[in-house]
Amino acid sequence: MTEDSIIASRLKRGFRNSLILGLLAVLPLGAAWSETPDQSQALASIEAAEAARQRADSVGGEWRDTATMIEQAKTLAADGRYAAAIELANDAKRQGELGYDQALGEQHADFPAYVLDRSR
Amino acid sequence: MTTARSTFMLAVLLVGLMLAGGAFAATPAEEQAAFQAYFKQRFPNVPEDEFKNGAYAIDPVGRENWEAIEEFPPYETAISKGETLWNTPFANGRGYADCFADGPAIAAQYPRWDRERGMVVTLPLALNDCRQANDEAPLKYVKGPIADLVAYIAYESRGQITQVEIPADDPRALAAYEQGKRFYFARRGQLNFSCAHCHFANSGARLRSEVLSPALGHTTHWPVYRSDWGEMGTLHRRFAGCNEQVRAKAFKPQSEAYRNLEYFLTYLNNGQELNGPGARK
Ligand code: HEC
Repeated sequence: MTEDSIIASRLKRGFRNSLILGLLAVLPLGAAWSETPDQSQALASIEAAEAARQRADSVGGEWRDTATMIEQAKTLAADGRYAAAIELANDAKRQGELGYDQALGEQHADFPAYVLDRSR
Repeated sequence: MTTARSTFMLAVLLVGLMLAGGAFAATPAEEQAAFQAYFKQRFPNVPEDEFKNGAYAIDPVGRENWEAIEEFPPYETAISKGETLWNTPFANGRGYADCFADGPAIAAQYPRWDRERGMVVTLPLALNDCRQANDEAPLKYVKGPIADLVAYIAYESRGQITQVEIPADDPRALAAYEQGKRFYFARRGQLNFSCAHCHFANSGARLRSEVLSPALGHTTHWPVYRSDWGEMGTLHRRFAGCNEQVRAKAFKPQSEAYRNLEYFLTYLNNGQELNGPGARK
């Protein structure tokens, strides 16, 4: 094999490799593409957010904007903007979860020591 | 022998633990004393009878403006509307005076623990009870006619002294106080603040354009004409506003949560003179 043909075959192999790499890179995109959220996924996210909101409310821990966010997510879903609806619903669900945990964590809240120490 | 001794040691340990536990649980009276001492120490130059003026007891600039406003009080129309309401008979010919024998100067009787109903009764709630007992529709709680009525009653009650009681022989009253206390000190909302974060530790500091008022004095002057609202509002309207400021969902006016909160906060303010209705920014 001449020096030239070795280089040529390496180049060829290099080209083939990058083609494979390129395909690999595009594959996940294809996967995501096929997973473009549909209506049922959006509605499921909204339902989960509403459940989390109600759970927070049941312990007095609901945050101010959660219900509004869920309403907005419903509007987005009705307009066919499922990805945006899911994102907002997920934020609302997170608020519900945080509000619930917060309320449970604070159920024994009491006078701060810097005040109460004065009575001892 | 060794068993007897270790049993004895265990008993000593248990008694010690119980004593230590007892020492940590303060009574409402101790908490009230600590609360008042805290604010007097925090604001040593504010005379005791000034706390009822809220932020204007500690903010000289805001006070100038407030004193000018008080020369032509924006709550005056509410007082006279309230007086008319008080004196207008219900459809059945009876009136508020038939429900409240000591009326209209009854503000210092509320909030109070109602033993029969096992709940805290506030003045607005008692007024609606009276209406309903006489087949009148209840009034809405945050503003409007209820605020007018309470304004008139508050005005007639000026000079009375806050004197909330927690009857020692009804543990449910103490439980209501405790629930109000938990509410007060619980962090809530997206901002994760408790009432105390703003009205204890940061009282006197500025939040945007407002000076944070100390919690001592918070219950004396309701309802209030707030320039920000452009109208009168009740104490529970203010509670709701403060909940929403920290991005928590507000509770319903006259909900159990807010009634117990009012019970707790007013008890801590025992000894403060009533000076409602008030004017605030
Ligand atoms: C983020 C800070 C903040 C928190 C938390 C907060 N407040 Fe307030 N509050 C304010 C501000 C600002 C005002 C208006 C200025 C003032 O009077 O302090 C106010 C006013 C008030 C007033 C009226 C004072 C007056 O003189 O008329 C009351 C009563 C009150 N708050 C109670 C509460 C209670 C109860 C809570 C807890 C549920 C609470 N606040 C939580 C900021 C806060």
